[in-house]
Amino acid sequence: MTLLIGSVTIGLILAMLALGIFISFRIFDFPDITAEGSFTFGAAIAAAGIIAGLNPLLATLLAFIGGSLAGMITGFLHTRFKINPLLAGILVMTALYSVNLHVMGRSNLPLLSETTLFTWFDQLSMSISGEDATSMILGWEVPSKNLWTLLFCFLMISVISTVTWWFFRTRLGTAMRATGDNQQMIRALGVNTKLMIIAGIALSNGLIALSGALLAQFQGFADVQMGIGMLVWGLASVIIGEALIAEKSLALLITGAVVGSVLFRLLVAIALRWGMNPNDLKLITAAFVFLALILPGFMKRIKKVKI
Amino acid sequence: MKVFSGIAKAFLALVMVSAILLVSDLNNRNSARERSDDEKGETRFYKICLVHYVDSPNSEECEEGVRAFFEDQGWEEDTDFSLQVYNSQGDMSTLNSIAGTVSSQRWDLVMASSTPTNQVLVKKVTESPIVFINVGDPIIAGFGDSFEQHLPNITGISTMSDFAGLVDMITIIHPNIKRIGTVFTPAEINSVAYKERLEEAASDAGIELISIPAASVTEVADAAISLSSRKIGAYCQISDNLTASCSATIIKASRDARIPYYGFITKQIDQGAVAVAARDYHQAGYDAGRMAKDVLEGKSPGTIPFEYVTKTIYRVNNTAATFYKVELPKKLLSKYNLTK
Repeated sequence: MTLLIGSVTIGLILAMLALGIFISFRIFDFPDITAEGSFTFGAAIAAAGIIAGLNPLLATLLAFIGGSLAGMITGFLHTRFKINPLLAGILVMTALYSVNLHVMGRSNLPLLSETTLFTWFDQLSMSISGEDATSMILGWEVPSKNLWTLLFCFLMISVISTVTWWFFRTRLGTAMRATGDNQQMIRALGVNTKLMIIAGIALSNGLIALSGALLAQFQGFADVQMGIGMLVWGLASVIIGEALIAEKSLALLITGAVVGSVLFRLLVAIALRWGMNPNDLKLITAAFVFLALILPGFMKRIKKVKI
Repeated sequence: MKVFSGIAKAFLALVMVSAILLVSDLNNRNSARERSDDEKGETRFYKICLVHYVDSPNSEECEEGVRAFFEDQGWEEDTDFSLQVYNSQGDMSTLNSIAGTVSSQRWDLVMASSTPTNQVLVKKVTESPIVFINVGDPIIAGFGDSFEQHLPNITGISTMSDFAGLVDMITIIHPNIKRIGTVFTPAEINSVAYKERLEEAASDAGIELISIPAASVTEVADAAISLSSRKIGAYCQISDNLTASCSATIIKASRDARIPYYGFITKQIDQGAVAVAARDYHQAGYDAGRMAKDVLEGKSPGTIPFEYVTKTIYRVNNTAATFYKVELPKKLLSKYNLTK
C-alpha cells in the first residue's frame, strides 16, 4: 500500500509535466523540447530559493514564473525569428543547462534538512494524528504523513487541471486553441497568433517547472541532470491518456493526461516490484507504452466482430 | 454519456493496475508483525537491496566488491542472504519509483551506489539502515556535517580520489612543475568537489591548477586541446562520469601536445597515462560490505563514522614515460612500491 500511495504521488507530481507537454504538443501542435530544461529550471529555482530562506510556497511559485519565462523565450525565438520549434526548444534547453548551474551554484543541491512544502505536510500530519501515526487500509499499515502528501498532490493537480480547463474555455483560451488548430483562420479573425503561441508555451513550461519544483522537494534534492528523459515520460503519459479515453473533449483530454501519468508510474512500480532484471526495465516500459497504444484499437475491433 | 464512458474507462484502468500492484505487494501486508516473528528464528537470513544510479564500470566493481566480501564471510546467496539489485539507468523519475518500491518493503539493509541514489533513499527509506558506496563527498551530498556527525540512518564509504598522492607523485617526477591542468564537469557535483580538492592539494605543493569546464563528450575534446595551450606541465585529470567515459580523448590531446598525462582511474594506465593513483572501487564495495556486516549484526549506522576507501592503487607506465620523455626517479618507485 505504501508502494501504491508513493507511486500515485509521483504520478500526480509528474502529471503537471504531462499537462504542460499536452498544452505544447497537443493544443499548440508545437514540439517543445524546452521541457527538459525548464523541468530542471523549476527544481533549481525552488531548491536555491528554499536554501536561501524563502518560504517554500513562494519558491515554488517563483519556479512557475521562471519556467514561464523560459517558455516565453522559446515562443519568442520561434515567432520573431522564425526558428523551427524543435530548434528553438533545443536552443533554450541548452542555454538553461548553464542557467541552472548558475542558479544552483553547483550541480546538486540537497534539501534533506530544509523545510519544504512536503515537510509542512509531515508536520500537519504530526499535529493532527500524532508522530509516527499509521493508518490501516485493507490490512496494510500506512504512515499517515504519506496519505497527507498524497491528498495534497491530488488537491493540487485537481485545482491546476480545473484552472487549465477553465482557462482554455475563456475567450483568450479559445483563441489559443484555435491558433493550434488553424493559424490562418484565427489570424483572419484578427487574433495575434504570435502572442498566443508565446503565452501558450509560457504556460506549458510554467507547469513543467512547477512539476520539477515539486519533485525536487519530494525527493529531497535538485540535480542538474533531473530533466533528462522527462520529455519522453511526459509524452508517453499524454499518449497513454489519449489512447485510453479516445475522446476529443478538452476536459477529458486533460483528465487523460493526468490519469496517463499516474497509470504510467503504477506500471513502472509493478515492473520494479516484480523484481525484473534491472537491465530490462526500459524494454518493459517501452512494451507498456506500446500495449497502451494498441489496446484501445484492438478492443474496438473485438466489439465490431461481435456485432 | 460518452463523456462518462471515457472517464469510467480511465478509472477502471487505474483501479485494475492498482489492484495488480497491491496483489504483487501482498507479502508486505502486516509486515511489522511478521518481522518480529522473524527475529525469533535461530538462523538469520539477511534481506539486502542494492540500488545503482546508472550502469557504469565503477558501480559494477562496487557490486562485485560487496559480493566478494559476503563470499569471504562464508555467506551464500539465497541461503544466507538475498541481494535484490535495482538500477535507475540514469533516469530521475525511475529513481523515485525505485525509492518507492524499496521503501515499501522491509529490508535488513539497503545499499546504494552514487550520490543521487542515496539522497532519494535517505529521504524515503526510514525503516531500514542505509550503507552508501561510490559517493565522492558525503558532506556536500547532505548526509552529515562531518564524517562522525551525520544522519542517524546512513553510513558508508566515500570514494574521494587520493589527490595528495597523485600530486606528490607528479612533484617527484617533475620537481619544477608550476602548472597542471584538468577538464571538469560543472554538472556533476563530484566533479566540482574533486576539482576544488585537487586545487587545494596542488596549491599545498605550490602548483597552480588550470581547470576547463565541459558539458558533453564533444566539449571534452575541445577543453582538452585548449588546456594544452595554457602552458601546463602535466594533465592531472580528475575522475567524473563524463570525463571517465571519454578519457581516451583527453589522453590523445595530451599525446598530441607531448604533455604527460596523469589520472585517478586504473584503466587509464593501459590507455597511456604515465602514472595513476586510483581508488579501488572493488575495494570500496568490499569495505562497504564490512560496514554492512556491522549494521546487520545490530550496530546503528548513526554511530559508525563515514570512511574513505582503504586501498589506493598506484601504477606507472614505462612506455608512456618514454613517449613523453619523462624520467621515473628511483625515489618514486620505492616510495609507492612500484615496479618499472
